[in-house]
Amino acid sequence: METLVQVALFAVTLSTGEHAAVAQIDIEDGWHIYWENPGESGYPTELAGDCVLKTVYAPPHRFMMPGDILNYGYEGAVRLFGSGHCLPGDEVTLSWLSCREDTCIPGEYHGSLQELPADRISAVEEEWAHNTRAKAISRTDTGWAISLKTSRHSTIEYFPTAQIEAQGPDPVISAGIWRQKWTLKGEIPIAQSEKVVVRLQNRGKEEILIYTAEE
Amino acid sequence: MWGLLLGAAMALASEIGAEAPDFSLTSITGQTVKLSDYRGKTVILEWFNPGCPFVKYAHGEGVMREQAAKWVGDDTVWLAINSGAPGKQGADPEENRAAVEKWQISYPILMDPTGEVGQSYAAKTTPQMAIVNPEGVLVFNGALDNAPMGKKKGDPLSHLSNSLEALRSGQPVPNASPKPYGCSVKYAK
Repeated sequence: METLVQVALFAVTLSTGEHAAVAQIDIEDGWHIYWENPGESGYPTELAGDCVLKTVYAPPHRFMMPGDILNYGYEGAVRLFGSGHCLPGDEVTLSWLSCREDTCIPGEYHGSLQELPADRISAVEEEWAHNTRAKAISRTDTGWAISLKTSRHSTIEYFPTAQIEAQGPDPVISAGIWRQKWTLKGEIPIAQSEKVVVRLQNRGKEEILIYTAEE
Repeated sequence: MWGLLLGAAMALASEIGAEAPDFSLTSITGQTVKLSDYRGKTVILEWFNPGCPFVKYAHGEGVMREQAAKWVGDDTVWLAINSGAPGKQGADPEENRAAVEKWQISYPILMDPTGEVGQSYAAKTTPQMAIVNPEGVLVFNGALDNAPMGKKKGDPLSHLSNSLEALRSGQPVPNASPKPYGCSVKYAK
């Protein structure tokens, strides 16, 4: 059953000076694992260890489970990172919940970090930058608003980490500006670590935008 | 986005403060159980899937048995509902019977294979808890606590206990719909 999710673990020193752990994950077809906000069910994938401060996530995808249950996560191949001070030889554990439409199986993989092969460094650097580069947006008492320039051929998906709901009509895209407001649901305040990941597809080209709440 | 809109639509079917949807389901021991039979009592509903790791934890090392022991009584009833579709994880009645024995569950497990009852309560996860007051009003629907698999973020918070304590003392339920955690309910579609 462990072959549902295959994991290879590496340590890399990035050009920023960060000593990151890298988990290269390959998920069996039909199954998915979860983002830091798993959505309406599931459980976040986590990389943990003495050298890891926190898990740094790749942008997620949406999965609709039967019963209109919305999940955020990953399928196929994905790289997740651990920020902190990880070096080759350090031990880390990746833990996850893998689900399919009909069943869920938890798993974990424990190992020591290998040095990242040189030919992968630039791809990893780019991904790390992608996952950590964020725009700060001011928020109001009730949430955030984001405006994005779009065209008739755009599609937008967004992924919040906080328990927030979108206000306004479904973002049916037309040429011009797409404005989306998010409001807080319930009484949960947005912490500074909350963010929204947006996948913007424009004429076949995809852009990932990450917005973080600032106080 | 559609998921959020549909989710909101489902929640309207079972809004906090509205009448809890009635149901008539058969238990794994062949008993027919109707929610309206228990008007006049507090009813605790637990969405159940014996194959789900979160449920296994809650019933194994976790708090489910002690919560049931604490709250079930003359004026309070506990019913588990399995809304999984035939063929999906934990939906086999045999598996539910085995779970009842293994975890010494003292309350009925009601089978909802079409998922209609689960959908009427917007049950998304197992476990998910709902509370219906003696007047038949839905007063809580959401997470059991803040500790999925026993891992708490911050101080331990039993949403179930806090809600029942509030009801007992005539206070409003402090947090009536905390986001539930767990495996997705294994609906047919």
